[in-house]
Amino acid sequence: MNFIHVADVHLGIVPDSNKPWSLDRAYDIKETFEKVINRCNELNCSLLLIAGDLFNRQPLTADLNEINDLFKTIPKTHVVIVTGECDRIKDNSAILSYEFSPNVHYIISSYPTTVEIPELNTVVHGFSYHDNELKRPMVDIIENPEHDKKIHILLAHGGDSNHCPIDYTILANKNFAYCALGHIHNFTEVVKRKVVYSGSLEPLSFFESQEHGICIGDINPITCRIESFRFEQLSTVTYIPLNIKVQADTTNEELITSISNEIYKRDSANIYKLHITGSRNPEVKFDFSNLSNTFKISEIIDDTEPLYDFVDLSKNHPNDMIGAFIRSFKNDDIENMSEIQKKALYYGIDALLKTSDKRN
Amino acid sequence: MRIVGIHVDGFGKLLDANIKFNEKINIVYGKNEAGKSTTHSFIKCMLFGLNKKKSRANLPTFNKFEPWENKDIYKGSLIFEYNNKVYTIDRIFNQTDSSLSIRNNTDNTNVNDPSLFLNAVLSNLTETSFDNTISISQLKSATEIGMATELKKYISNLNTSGDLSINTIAAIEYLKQQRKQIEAKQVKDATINYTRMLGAIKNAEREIQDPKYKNSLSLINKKKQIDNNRIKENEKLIEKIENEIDVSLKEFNQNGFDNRTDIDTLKIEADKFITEFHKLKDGIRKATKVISNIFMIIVGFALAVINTIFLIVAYPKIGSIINVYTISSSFEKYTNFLKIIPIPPSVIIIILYIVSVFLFVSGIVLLITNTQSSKKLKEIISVLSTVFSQHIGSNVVNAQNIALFNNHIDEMYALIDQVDNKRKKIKYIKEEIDNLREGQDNYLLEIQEQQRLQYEVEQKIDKINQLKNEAEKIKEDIDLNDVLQTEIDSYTLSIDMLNELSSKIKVMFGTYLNENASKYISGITNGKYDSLNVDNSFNVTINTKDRIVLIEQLSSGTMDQIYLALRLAIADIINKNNEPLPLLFDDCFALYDNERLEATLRWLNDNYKGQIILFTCHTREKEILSKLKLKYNFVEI
Repeated sequence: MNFIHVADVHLGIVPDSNKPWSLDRAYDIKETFEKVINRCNELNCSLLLIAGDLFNRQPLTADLNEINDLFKTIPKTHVVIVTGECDRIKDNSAILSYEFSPNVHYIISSYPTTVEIPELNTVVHGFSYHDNELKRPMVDIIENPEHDKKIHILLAHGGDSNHCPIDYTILANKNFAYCALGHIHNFTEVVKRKVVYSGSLEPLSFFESQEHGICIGDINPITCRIESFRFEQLSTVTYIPLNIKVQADTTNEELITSISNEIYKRDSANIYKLHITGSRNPEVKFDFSNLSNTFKISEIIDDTEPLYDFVDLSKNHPNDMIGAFIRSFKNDDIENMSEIQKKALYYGIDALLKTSDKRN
Repeated sequence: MRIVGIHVDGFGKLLDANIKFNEKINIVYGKNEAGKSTTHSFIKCMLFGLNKKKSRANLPTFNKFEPWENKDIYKGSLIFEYNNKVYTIDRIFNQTDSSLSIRNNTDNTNVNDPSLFLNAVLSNLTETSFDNTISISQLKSATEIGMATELKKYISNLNTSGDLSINTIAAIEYLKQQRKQIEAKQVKDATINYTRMLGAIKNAEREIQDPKYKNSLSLINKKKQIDNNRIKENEKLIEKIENEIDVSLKEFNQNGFDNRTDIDTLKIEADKFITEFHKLKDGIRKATKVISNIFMIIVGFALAVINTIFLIVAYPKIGSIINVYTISSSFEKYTNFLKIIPIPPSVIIIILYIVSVFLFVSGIVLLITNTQSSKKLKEIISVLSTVFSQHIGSNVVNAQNIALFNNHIDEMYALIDQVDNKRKKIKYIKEEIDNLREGQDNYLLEIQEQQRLQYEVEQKIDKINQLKNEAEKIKEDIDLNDVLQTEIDSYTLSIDMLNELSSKIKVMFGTYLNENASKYISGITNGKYDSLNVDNSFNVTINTKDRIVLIEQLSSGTMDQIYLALRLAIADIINKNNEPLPLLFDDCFALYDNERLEATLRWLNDNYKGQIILFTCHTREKEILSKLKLKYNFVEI
């Protein structure tokens, strides 16, 4: 009985919302979800498990129509869905009166309930969120399924203190052939091949810089155990943080070229965050506007420090503003200064040196 | 530090020139265009070099002093004394192989790191400072107002930075500009918009909490379905009952009835007949009745006969009429007993006649009626038997069948009652169906309303989602703003620090400067001007014993003196920890009158500890020094 486990799709989300590629990302997420459905078709999947947060917010009838149309194209696959805190069921949810295609089992109950699928000899246990938070350790209080030669699968969303805290040891000891979990956005095998977070389908921020996609598994219908299991990457884009170190003689062009090369090496379609460190020539000011126009750069943190020899400067300017200015930053040890103090020192010295010898 | 001598290989118009200096006052005399300024520049270039990596200041370009004659010998040397040792600076100014080396002649060693050493010798003087302190020329501007302005600028710069080359005010301006650029990158009103957005979202979310938006569509549909099923059940039930009614009616009709009234009619008729039957039957059943009737007739007749006999006996006269005399005598004996009876015989005879007549007549009447009853009974029986054979399948009219017939009639009544009941039931059921149908219509309306509300709430939810997306965007802007704010705060800290220090230095340095400069001014002007004061707005005032004079009010000559005094004061400060540096005067006493010049020269000789080199195109200085009997070295170029 082969299945696909996916979670945290967050349809409708617009990540990096103040960046130019935000709408592209929103579209990517839709496309990748369609890819999941295609995979179901290609692999003749019997079961598609969606472990919560399929939608980023409460879905409207139009949204349900869209996914229902997709599910209609895989009528032989049983789709079981639970909601997470983002797409939780409310009094006025359209889900309450929506007629899904017959192969779709949308679990509405907030208490653990079961979906029996006799033709697969499978029982899926799950519950959906009706509130933003769920402090009860639901998973811990789910009844241990009987040893009745059926395949028991847990489909749940949660894992932190405000969202269904889970004791993984207790869970691993229950008679579930597989626990399909959602909520944690990075693919994690808490118990190898047994208690798994499939992770979000597409990465949604820099905290999710690993691979993203779906879990594909196969359960032997007789032994009710997992026979094969793998993770398949489906995401279109990866968040890649880059650390670049500059030298005292690095010019702006050199830096831009070197960054561009690093980006091309890793595919310019990905989204990058640059962290630049090192000492630079005090007269050089790095200009990243070209980079931002060519690539998808989410953030540039310029932590480079101008190479001033403050001790020397202080000594050479014992009686004047430069010396006094340097000495006024009380911590002589430059490492202990706060960010703002450091920058104030650099900017001040830079300004003083730039404007000296310019008589007004 | 003291310059011992210079050797120019090639520098500007100078070619292979040698000048020796003594430790006190030196006069370098030359007419215009002789090369005085070039020599002055040469000394400066020897001390500070020609090419610098940093191209900030207004340095002479490499080419400016290229030797007119031979470009290859663009070099020279300067010998100076420092800390009781003699050094030689050798510089080559060729761009391709410019170099600096310093030789310690006393110890016969080469100085490691010549630039660093030279820096120390010159008390870390920069070239700009050099130009503004120990290298003294006339005030650059020609007009008096210009001079005053320049002096003011000079003072203010000095005041705020403690170093002439540092321009704190410009630095602060620069920082403010940078800060403005970053402030421009911040998204305006992001926080306010965010709060506003959150408020809007909150309101909108509160709106959709209204219980009317509860999605009860499936509930209503379920109810509707249930009622619909009920309707269908009821309809089936009606069909069933109607079938039953049909069956009953068929049976009913088969029995020849169309409705209840038919039964009524039949029953009334039948009852009539049956009662008659029973009556007649009862009447006829008495078989003895016929016998008694006949008996009655006989008895009546007999009695009449006897009575007649009695009559004849009693009343022989009547006998004679009917000629039955003979009979009477035989019957006399029998009638004798009659005479015993007290009642008169006529009465007895009459009574007897009445009785006999009565018996006779009644007997005959009864016999006739009996016969008539029989006939009627037969008729009734035939009618009844037809009825019975029609209704109970037997034409025998007997009590059993009568009972059967009555049962049958009762059954028919029951049947029609049933039919009536069933019809009533159907009516009830139909009413219920109507109600349910009405209910269905209501449900439809409710569903429509629900769908309308669902649509409405979805619009609102969609709006909320949009607002939330907007809010997220603004939040990211706020985060960006915060990052930029750190930058802005850094700039602000820098600016504030500079301002603070600037005032401190002003306070500290200004006082010091004022003191020092006052000392020099007083000395140079021979007590004419007492002291100098620079206030916060850089207004310079000179004090005499009795009054305060603004610097603008002074003559150019006096201003020049003050300029000199300031420079000396500054040179003093610079040289605090070191040997005094040589003062280089480049043709600066042109505006001085003789008296003033004398006073200045004398004062300089007495008060300046270091070397003095005067470049001049006049002979006045020489003459005055000679007059004052002061030692000096005279060089002519």
